Amino acid sequence: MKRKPYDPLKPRITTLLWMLGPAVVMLAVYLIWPIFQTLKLSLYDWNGIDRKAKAIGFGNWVELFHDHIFWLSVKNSFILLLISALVEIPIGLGLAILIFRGGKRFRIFKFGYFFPFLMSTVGISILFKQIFDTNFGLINQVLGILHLSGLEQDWLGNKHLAIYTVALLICWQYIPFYMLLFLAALNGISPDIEEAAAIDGAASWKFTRYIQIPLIRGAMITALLLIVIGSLKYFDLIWVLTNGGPEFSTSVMASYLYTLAFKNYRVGYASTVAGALFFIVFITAISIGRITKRFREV
Amino acid sequence: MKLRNRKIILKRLAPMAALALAVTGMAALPAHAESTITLWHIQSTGTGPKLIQDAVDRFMADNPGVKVVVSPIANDAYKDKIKVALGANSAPCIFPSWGGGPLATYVKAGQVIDLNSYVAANSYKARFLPASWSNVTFNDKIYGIPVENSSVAVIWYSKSLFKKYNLSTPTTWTQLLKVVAVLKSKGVAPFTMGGKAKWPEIMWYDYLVDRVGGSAAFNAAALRTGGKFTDPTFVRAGQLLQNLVKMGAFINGYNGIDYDTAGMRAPLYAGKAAMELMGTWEYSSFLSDKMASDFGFFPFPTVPGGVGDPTDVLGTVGDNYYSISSSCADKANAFKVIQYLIDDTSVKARITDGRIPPVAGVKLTDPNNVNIYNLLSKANGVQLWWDQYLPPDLAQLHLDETQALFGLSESPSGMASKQEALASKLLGASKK
Repeated sequence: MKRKPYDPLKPRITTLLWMLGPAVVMLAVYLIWPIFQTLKLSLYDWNGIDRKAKAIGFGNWVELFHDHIFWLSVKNSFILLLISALVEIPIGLGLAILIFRGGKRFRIFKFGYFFPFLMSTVGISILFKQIFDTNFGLINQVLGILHLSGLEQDWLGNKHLAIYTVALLICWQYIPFYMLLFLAALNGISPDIEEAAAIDGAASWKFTRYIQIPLIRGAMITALLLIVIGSLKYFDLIWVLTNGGPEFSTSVMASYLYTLAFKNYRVGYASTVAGALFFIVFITAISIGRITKRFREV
Repeated sequence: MKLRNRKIILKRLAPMAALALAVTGMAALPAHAESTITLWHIQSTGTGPKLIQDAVDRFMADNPGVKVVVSPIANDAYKDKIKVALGANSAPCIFPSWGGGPLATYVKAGQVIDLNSYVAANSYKARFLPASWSNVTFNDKIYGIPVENSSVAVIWYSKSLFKKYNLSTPTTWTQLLKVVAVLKSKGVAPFTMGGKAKWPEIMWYDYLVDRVGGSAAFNAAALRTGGKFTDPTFVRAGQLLQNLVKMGAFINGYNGIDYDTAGMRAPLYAGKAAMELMGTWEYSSFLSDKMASDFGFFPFPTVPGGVGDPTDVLGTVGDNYYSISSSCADKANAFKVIQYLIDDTSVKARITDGRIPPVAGVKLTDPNNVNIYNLLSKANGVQLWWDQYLPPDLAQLHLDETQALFGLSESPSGMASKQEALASKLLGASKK
C-alpha cells in the first residue's frame, strides 16, 4: 500500500473527522439541537416538572402576540440597542482615536479605560445598586452636597427612568470593549498611508476624518452587529440590578423568558418567548448586515 | 505494513481510551460509602450552615457507612435550581420547600414521597405544633417535615423613634394612619419597603384582605368554593393600601429597594424610616446586626368595618419543610437525616440562634421570641404567604400586580379582575 505524502491543503477525510468531529458534535448537541428542542417545546404547555407535557399546537404563539409584557420587553430590548449603538460606538471611537494619537504616553489610559470591561457583571451590578440607591446612594448624596437636590432621582425605582439608568450603565461597561476594537483597527492601518497623507498636507483632523475613519468602517460595522446581537440578548446586569422591574419597566426579552420559566413555572411558554427572541435577533442581525453591506465596500 | 496500521489505530484510540477511563473513574468515585444521601438547604447565612452540618455530622457518627453530602444554596438561587433538578430527574434526596403551591406541583408530578407512614411511627407527628402540618398536607398525605422556624409577619418599629415622637403602638387602622401622619410631619418615612423583591409588598395586601374579609374570603376564592378574587373584600383591601401609598407612608424609591443586602433594613438603622411589615425572622437579622434592642413589634392592626379575626396571622409554622424526592435511593436513611435536623440538640441550637422551632412545648428564653410564640399560639388561623400558597403562575401574577398597585399604575379593581381571570383559568370556575 502506497501512502500519499501528507498535504496540509488537502487533508484526508479521516483527519478532517478527527479535527472537526468533536467540535461539530459539541455544537450540534449543545447549540443546534437545543434550538430545535426549544421550538418544539414552544408548542407545549409544560411546567418543567411534570413527566408529561401537553401539546397545545400554536396556543403559546397566539398568546405571545397578545402579551403586552412581551411587547414591552421587545420595546425595552430595542431601547437598549439604540442607546448602546448611539453611545458606545461614538465614545468608543473617540477614546480610541485619542489613545492612538497619544501613543505610548497614553498607554496608562488604555488600561484604565479598559478596567470596567474586566470587572464581573454581577460585581458591577451590586456595586451600582448601592451607588444608585435613592436614600443612601453615592449619586444622590453627592447631588445633595452640591445643593442640587432637585436633580436627585429614584434611579432604579422610577419606572419611567429605570431603563435609561440601566442602559447607560451597560454602555459604561461596554465602551472599553469597542474602544479596544477600534484601537486594534487603527493600529492595523499601514503607516505608509499616514506618511502619504502628511506629504499631501492633510491636517491631523482631516487625516482622521477622511482617512482613518473610512478605513476602519469594517470594524465599526462589526461593532454595530455585536451591539445588535448583544443588546437583544442582554440579561445578566439587568437581572441582578432590577429583576426586570419595577413593573416590568426594565424587562427585556431574556429576563422575561427567565421569569416565565423559573418564577411562573411556564417552561413551554418561556420556550415560545425564546423562539421569538431567536427569530427577532436573527432577522435584525441579517437586516443590519444587508443595510451595511454597501458601506462595507471601500 | 499491517502492524504499522494497527499502531496508528492504537495511537488514535489512546486519547479516547483515556477519556473513557476518566469518565468511568469519576462515576466510581463516590462508591466507597455504602449509601450516599444528598441534602440541599438554604440556611446559607449566619449560623445556618453550621446548624445543618452539625446535625448531619451527628447522623454520620451514629450511622457509619452512610455518607451525607450537604450543599448550602442561596435562597433566591435555590428556587430556580431545585426546579431544574426536579425537571431533569436529578433532584437531591432531601430538599427544603415552603410547602403550599410549589410543593403541590412536585406532588402532582410524583417527584416527592408521601411521609405518612414515617411520621406515624412512634407518634413522631405529635412532636410538632399542629398548625405546622397544614402547608405540607395534600389529600391527607404529608409530604414534608417542618424544621427551621416559625415566622409570621408583624410590624416592627423603632422604639427610639416612637419614644422621641411620643407615639404608642397602634391597634386599629385609624390609629396607624395617625402614627403615619405624625412621622411624616417629622420628616421620617413611616415605613421602609423592599419593593424590588415584590414579596414584602404582598404582605400588606394579603393582611388587609384578611382583616377586611376574614380568612374565609381568601379561602373561598383560592379554593374556588364560591368566592372570587373580584369580591368587594379584595377591591377594598387594594383601596386601603393605595390610600396608604398616596399618603406617602412608604420611603422614597420603595419600588427599587431590594430586600437582600439589607437594602430594606438600612433606612431603619439610619433612623430614616420607623417601621416595616416583615416576618419575625427579621429579629435574627436585628440580632446579628446588633440592633435588636431598638426594635419591638405589634400585630397587624384591624380595619374599620373589617370582619377578620384580629388574632389571625400571615406566615408559616415550619418555614422550611424538608421533603424526600422519589428518586432517592435510600429513603429510610434520608428520613433519619431529617429527624437529626430537628432532634432535641438541633432544637436547642435553633433557639440559641433566635429562632422558634415548630416543635410543641419548646422552652424559649428570649423575651421577644416568647412574645412571638404567644402571638402564634393565640392565633386562630395561620395563613401561608400567598406567593407560596398559590400555584406558581398565579403567585407570580399576584406579586407583579401588587407591585403595580404600590406603583399606583394598577387600580384595585384591575388587579382583582386579572387575578380572578387567571385563577379561573388555572383552578376552574368558583362554585358553591
